[in-house]
Amino acid sequence: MIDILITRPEHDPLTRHLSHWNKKVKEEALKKGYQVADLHKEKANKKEFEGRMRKTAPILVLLNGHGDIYSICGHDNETLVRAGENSSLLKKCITYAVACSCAKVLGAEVCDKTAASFIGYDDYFILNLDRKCLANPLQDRRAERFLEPSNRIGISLIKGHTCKEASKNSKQSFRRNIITLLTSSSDPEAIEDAKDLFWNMNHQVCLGDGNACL
Amino acid sequence: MSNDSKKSKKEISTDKEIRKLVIARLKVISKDTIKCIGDQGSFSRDELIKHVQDDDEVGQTMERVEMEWLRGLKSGLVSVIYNEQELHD
Repeated sequence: MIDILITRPEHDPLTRHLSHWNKKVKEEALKKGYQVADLHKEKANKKEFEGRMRKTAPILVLLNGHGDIYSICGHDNETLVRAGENSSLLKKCITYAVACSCAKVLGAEVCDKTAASFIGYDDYFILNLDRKCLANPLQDRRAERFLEPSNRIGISLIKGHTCKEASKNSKQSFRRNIITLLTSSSDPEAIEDAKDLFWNMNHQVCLGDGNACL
Repeated sequence: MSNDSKKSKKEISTDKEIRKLVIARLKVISKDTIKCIGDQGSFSRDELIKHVQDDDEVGQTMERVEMEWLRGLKSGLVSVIYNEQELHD
């Protein structure tokens, strides 16, 4: 019996950072006693994803990777779930997808006429990294500004918050980081990062049943 | 070519101004920056400047992000963000 399924592909700087920072969400889930299926690197493939979803029916699915308005990808950009093909796999759970634009069509389709919930982004997800931390993503204080608010969704859901509350907590975290940057006079990256955090915050959407929780 | 498909001189000028602003901002940030824009890819600072100068898809995404930020500032984004944060603290 699996409660939570996480995909953690790692084939480029973005997915590598997402993968490492999502370890914190996985740790929180394990601490709370949830059973977690961690599809890491090559295991984040379509066959593994579909198999686990069908056999174990997790209540929370955390998808990290690239995407477009129709689909979410795993390792090496293999499509895991696509609108009009296998989106029904997500119709009985809460999904949080850090994958560009997938909320627009895929997310809407998942929540159409079901009790599903889908938190995601309706445009690009932007992440600014420090090149010096490529080998140690968890040391990257710059990426932390972006990924801590993103992680807040999974962590809030794991702590029992509703989807609406989880999204609200995440946006609060984005706002806090924007305020810190706007009041920083010594950081040359402050405005650039504040602008991109503002973009991510604005394009995060919570679809379907906002009152759903674990 | 119909006149509707041509941008007005004002729109072309605004686009140019936005590109200049984006490039000016990019020149200030660290050379160690890598910006990941979803599936468009991961870019260094200098690569981003080139994309904006070329006004290609990546450059246009950068301009959209900038426009959203400027619209936010114009509509009082800073005080909205502060007020919302105070409510939650």
